[in-house]
Formats: sequence, C-alpha cells, structure tokens
Amino acid sequence: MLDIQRISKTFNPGTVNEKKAITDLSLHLNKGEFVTVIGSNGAGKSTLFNAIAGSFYVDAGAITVGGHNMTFLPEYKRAKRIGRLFQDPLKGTAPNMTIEENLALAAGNGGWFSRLTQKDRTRFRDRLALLDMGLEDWLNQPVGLLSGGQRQALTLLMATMNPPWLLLLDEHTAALDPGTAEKVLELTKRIVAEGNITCLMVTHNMQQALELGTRTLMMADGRIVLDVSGADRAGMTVEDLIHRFKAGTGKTLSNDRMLLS
Amino acid sequence: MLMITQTALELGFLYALVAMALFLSFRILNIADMTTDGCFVLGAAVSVTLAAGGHPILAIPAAMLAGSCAGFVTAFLQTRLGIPSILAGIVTNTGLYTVNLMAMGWKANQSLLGGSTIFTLLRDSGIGSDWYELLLAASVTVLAGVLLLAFLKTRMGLSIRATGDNSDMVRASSLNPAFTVTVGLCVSNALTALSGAMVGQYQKTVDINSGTGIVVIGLACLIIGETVLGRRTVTKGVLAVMIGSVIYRFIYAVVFYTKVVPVECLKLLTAVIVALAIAAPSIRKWAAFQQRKLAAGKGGN
Repeated sequence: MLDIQRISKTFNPGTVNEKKAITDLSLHLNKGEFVTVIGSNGAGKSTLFNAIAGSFYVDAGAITVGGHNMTFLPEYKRAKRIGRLFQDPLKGTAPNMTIEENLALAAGNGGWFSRLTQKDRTRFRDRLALLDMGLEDWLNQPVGLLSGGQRQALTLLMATMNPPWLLLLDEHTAALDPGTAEKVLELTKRIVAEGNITCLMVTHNMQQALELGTRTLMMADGRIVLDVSGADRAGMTVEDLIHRFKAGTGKTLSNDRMLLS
Repeated sequence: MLMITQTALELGFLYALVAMALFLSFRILNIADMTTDGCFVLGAAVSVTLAAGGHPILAIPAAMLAGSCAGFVTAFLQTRLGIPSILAGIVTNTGLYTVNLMAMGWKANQSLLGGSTIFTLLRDSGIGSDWYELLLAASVTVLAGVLLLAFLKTRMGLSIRATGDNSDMVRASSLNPAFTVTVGLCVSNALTALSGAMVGQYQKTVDINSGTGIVVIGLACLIIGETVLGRRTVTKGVLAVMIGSVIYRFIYAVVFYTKVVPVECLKLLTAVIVALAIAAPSIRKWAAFQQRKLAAGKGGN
C-alpha cells in the first residue's frame, strides 16, 4: 500500500544549519499493516511523515501510495488518500465551526454547492455514537467547546470517514491525559481494524510500540535501523529492543521522552 | 428628522455590503483585504459609467464581476506568487486607481445628470412611494445577506470558513487553501463592488477618491454590529454588519447635523474607534496585568 524508494531530504543545504533529516530510506507496507515507529528525537520520524504526507517534496527517491506515484503531488491532493493526526489535538479541527460542519468537510461528498442533509446528520450521529463520548447530541455545537481528547477522537473519526489508503498517526495521544489517551488509542485500534486501514504510528512508548500493531520500526539518523515483525517481534521485550538498537547503531538509545516501561 | 432617519437607513444598508465583504475577508478568512477602497470605486465607476450609457440594471452585475476580478488579482498575488496578503491588497489597490480612471473615461469623476438609475426606475414604477430608495437599498442588502449565508453553508462555504479558522487542519485535509482563499476574495470583492455600484447610482456620481477609508469605515460597522449582537455564529455576523452599518450612519448623521464634532474630523474619529476596538483584547490584558502588579505591591510581595 505504501512504497518508499530511497528517499532523501536535507534541510538548509549548503548552510551551517544543514541537516540530513532522511538518508536513502526505503520502506514497503502491505495493505492492512499496522506499523509502529520509534526513535530518538531528531531520528527523522516526523520528517518521514511529512515526506509521505507531502508537507515538502523529497530531494531524491519516490513515494507510491496505493499504486499511485505521489512524489510530486501537492499535500492537499495526497490528503484525499492519506489521513493524518498530529500530536496537538487542536490541529485537526476548526474550532469556530460546529461538529457537523467539521464532519461535513471531512465527508467531502457532493459538489461544491451541496449542503448538509438530514441523511448526513443521521450518518454523523451514528459515527459519533461509536466514540461513546456523547458527542452525537452536540452536532450543532462549535468544536472549540470540546476537550483535547474529544477533539482528537473527532479528528480520528474525520480522518477515517472515507477510509484512507494510509493513516499517519504522529504521537496522536501524547498530549492527552493518560485516561483519555487510553480511550483514543482503543478507538484507533478499533477503527483501523474495522476498516483494515494501513497505518503508520509514531510513539514514544516502547512497550506500546511492541504491543500495538503488527510490525515495529526503529529510526536513527534518518534511517530505519530496525524492522521487526512476525515471530521475531512476538516474543520481544523492551530490553531486547534496546539491545538490538545498540547492536544496530553502536549507540545507546537516549531520549528523555522515551518511555521504557 | 424623518429625512435624516431615512437617509441614514438608506446609506446604512448600502454601505452594509462593504461591512459584509469585510466580514467574509477579515472575520472568516482572517485576511485584512486592502483591495476594498479601490474595489468600491471600481464598482461605482463601472456602475455609473454603464448607467450613463443607458444600462442601469446591467451595470450592477457588471460592477460585481469587475469587483471579483479585482479580488482574483489580490488572491493570485498572495496565494500563487507569495506576496504577503496585506501587501497584495495594497498593490492591487494602487493598480486599481488607473483602472478606475479608465472605467470613468480617463476622468477623475463621472456624473449621471439626467440619466435613469435603478432608483429612478423603481420610483417611476411607483413601488414603495416615498420610501423607494430605502426599499431598494434594504432589499438588495438583505438579499445579498441571505445569499451569502446560504453560500457559507455549502461545502464551498464550509471550506472557506475552515481555511480561515484553522490553517493546520486545512493543510492536512484535502482542501486547497489557494483555491478557497481565491473564491472567498472574489465573493467578498464582488460584494464591495456591489456596494460601490449601488452608492454610485444612489448619489448619481462617482469620484476617484470616494473610496478612501472605506475599509476602515466597513471595519467600524462590523465591530459596532458585533458589539451589539455578538459574533458567535455566521448568521449573527451577517445580521451584525447590517445593524452596525445603520448605527454608524446614524452617528454620522447626528454628527453632521449637530456638529458636536466637526464633520472633517469624522475619519480620524472612526480610525481611533476602530483601532481601539481591535486593540481591546490587548488593552484588557494590559489593564489586568497592571491591576495584578498593583495588588502584589499592596500585599508587600
């Protein structure tokens, strides 16, 4: 579903601030794979996501999603097929618009001059009921009134309203309180499983990285240094992961935000 | 007194269209559109020139089309060529000066001495008796308001609102902000030009400088209306610009007839009011901080 071939990206080339964020990285994801990504700060996780989503164009290499070459497609065109959630729960919704208006934008059906119908409302209400947050009775309330967790859950719903070919989750629960984070994570698992959505998820929690999904990638210095799945991954502990990282890069894993438990 | 009321209402409704345009560009799209001044004159120039040529009705849509072209240029400059939005408006505005002179036949003003206007057409039909000017002004503005509201509820309208509300969201969704900003500015400038077109035929004259400061007056109307009505929903926003504009014209009429302030000072006064109103949140924050410091000083820590 996702095929990345030898992409590279250097920021501020030729200046003192030159940073090789991604170097010659290749990655292939099959349909329905749920892949967790871990790595130190500055390892290139977010850069990788930005490259896939089209926030910038890569300097070299090719990005194919669902069999379509997206290397030179602008961000908004890729967004039709790639859903994305950020760490900041305020980034995914328009606060001064109502819940149903936000959902209508995400649904994106009908022409430019189509309006919300009663049928749309019923569908939105059914989808919102899945969140189990009582939002289905708030269709006409501005999203700005919701809590961070509610907004992130709504964003998740919006990103998967039309099942995307690829879902990018960039630490989407990291800014939420533990209880809410748990709930949003449960929702994520369910929605991803129901839609059989191919998913890439960055996390700082190593335990979570091993528990969730079907495959785990570890990044360092703009490269994928570890790629485990299947039986190899099944019996893995956090200790093994740290050990493997050291063996792979010759460095100790250092990250003040990395959760080892 | 009745005449003053009538005139204030008429001008209030006619200029409300500018405030409505600013509601779309400034409030919804979050862009201070400096095209407004020149676009207003453009609407008036096209309208008066066409009316002088014997087409007072055709003049109105023609003026709106001209206005949306001006909006398109501003949008193109900022979305495709990367010119900062305020500068883009100023650049278009400067260019419009020449375009406006051209629209008036290379003269600095254009009058409609005996020619018919949409207002005289209505008077001659007998509808609205003595109130025909107010009737026409109010119906055009209310119709424009209803259409704008309907538009803002369509998917296109929602996309425009999201663009101004959360640029991060739009970037990660499948909306192209360059497209939504362009459509938004075309619509808002069509409204500004509609205002100019109506005012031009109402006053039967247009002057190259008649648009100076219109953007600030429009903002004043917007802010007055929002102070009275609040600004939570788009429906309230559209209603607010009409109310605000009528109130502004009443204040103007009172100043004009009572001379409490010399009329020449009205623009300065408007500018001060707008600056204060937009600065209000900062001023409030500053006042609260001073109070906090004062309280801390008294407590001795």
